[in-house]
Amino acid sequence: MSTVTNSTNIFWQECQIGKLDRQKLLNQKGCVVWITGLSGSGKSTLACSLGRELHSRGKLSYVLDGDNLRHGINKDLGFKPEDRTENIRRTGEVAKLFADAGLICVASLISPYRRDRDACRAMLSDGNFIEERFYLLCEERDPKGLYKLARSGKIKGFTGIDDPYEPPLNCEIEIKQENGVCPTPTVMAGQKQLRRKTTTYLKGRESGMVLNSGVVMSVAHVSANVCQYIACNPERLRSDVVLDLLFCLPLQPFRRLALSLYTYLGYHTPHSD
Amino acid sequence: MTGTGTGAGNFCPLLRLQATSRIPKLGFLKLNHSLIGFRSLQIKASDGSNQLRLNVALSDTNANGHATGSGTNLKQLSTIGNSTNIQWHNCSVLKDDRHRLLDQKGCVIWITGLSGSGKSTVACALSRILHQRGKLTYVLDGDNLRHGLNKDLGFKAQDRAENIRRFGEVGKLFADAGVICIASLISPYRRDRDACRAMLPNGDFIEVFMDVPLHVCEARDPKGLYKLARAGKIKGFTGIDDPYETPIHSEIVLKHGEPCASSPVEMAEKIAVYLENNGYLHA
Repeated sequence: MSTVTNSTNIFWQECQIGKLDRQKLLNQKGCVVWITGLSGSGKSTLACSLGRELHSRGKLSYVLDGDNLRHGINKDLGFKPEDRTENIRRTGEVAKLFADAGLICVASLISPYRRDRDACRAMLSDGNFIEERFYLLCEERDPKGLYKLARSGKIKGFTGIDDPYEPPLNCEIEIKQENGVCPTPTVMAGQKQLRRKTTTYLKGRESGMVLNSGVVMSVAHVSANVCQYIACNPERLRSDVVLDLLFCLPLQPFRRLALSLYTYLGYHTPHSD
Repeated sequence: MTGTGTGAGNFCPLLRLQATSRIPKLGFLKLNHSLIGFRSLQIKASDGSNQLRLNVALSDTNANGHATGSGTNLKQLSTIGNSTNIQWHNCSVLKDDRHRLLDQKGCVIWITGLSGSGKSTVACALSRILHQRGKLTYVLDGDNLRHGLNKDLGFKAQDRAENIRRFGEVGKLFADAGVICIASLISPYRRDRDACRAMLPNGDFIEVFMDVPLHVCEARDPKGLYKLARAGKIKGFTGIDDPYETPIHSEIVLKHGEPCASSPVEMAEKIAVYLENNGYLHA
């Protein structure tokens, strides 16, 4: 019998079906991918893309979006610092439950305070918490028109304008993106299930940019990391090494063929990388 | 050329949109105004004698199927409870996709009853039965959640209500994810249980009532709490000094002493059969 903060006389109930059983059933390991960044940085879009990516590989994932949760479990919370802390705490607890159930939980919320994010990290056993910082030119995009309202003083305590955002010091993945032109959706070579239709055309200011090829690459890196984690590899490789192996290895014989042709025909061989 | 737009908001402005290039006889026209937030457009064009009137509905997807804007631009910012300026984000992976992946349908099995009536035992037994059939379940136990998510709540009436509300919300998230969520908590107040029922789509909330008389629970007293309550050491204990409102519309009632449901495993089987009959154990 124990007393935890306000709850007295409670017992921990053990169940025969545990985390490992569910892991075996789903053929994946539950974890939490925590995407943090300013409003309008594209967290929700990235979270959805990641969810879709994982789904296409047959993995069960679930997106916990900050705004969506504020429609449900966190609807009694505002945006004062203590409310934000409670919001992050509750999201962390729910994400922990999902990870325990064996799902890959993708949480995307601003979560501006470092202490709260670290508290969430501490909640989960080591290695189950993957923090990503998503950095983007947010105010220029302003997809919900909130920066405009905040600048005109209509919203008080808006993160990035009058409320601080504390960037993570040691996050697992940091995605920095430069605004660029994205002419075509990119299709990952040789990976049919990575066929992704999440890039759109950037057309002036009439339509907003959803993702461009840079972000697609970022998602590929994140997926590489997450999939390694799920597959419980004893040796973790860097994400770019994984992607290199995945895509470049099949093309190696062609490269060798090209080189030998060049040599045979007496042309200068290009410098080998 | 002039056009009127009916916006998503409460206004209906008349915009004079100038063509930025010479108007071709047959071709495309570029407008100098952003059309974000507009649902439909009525275009009136005239060149002297000829008049043209067009009603254009602006869809929220491009020709290649992607959302225009950031997808959620056309939706309003709303205020729910204390959260202001929030917007619902739709995800491309739908509930049905997850159902197909897991070969089951998500739902919430809400086991309610007095302390010591056997809720956790039945919950675990059910979880084991369904796991053996290859279904993904998760048990949300009242006590376990009070170690984590609900550790800031006590046992006062409003705390119990908040406890049940959060359980309902989390159960809803699990059901949406496709997991069969088994919630076992006392949940003594009818109004709060019904509020949770209202949160989920029809049929996805399955209430199971552990109909065990108080004296049987007290005789079992697995955690020694009834003894403490009778001695006055615990105040507001359900069944002793706090009311338990019996459910009226439970989907399943597990009555103590019934011949075909006398052990936790048999009770769990009864619930599993209900799930099977209602199509929750396949996509």
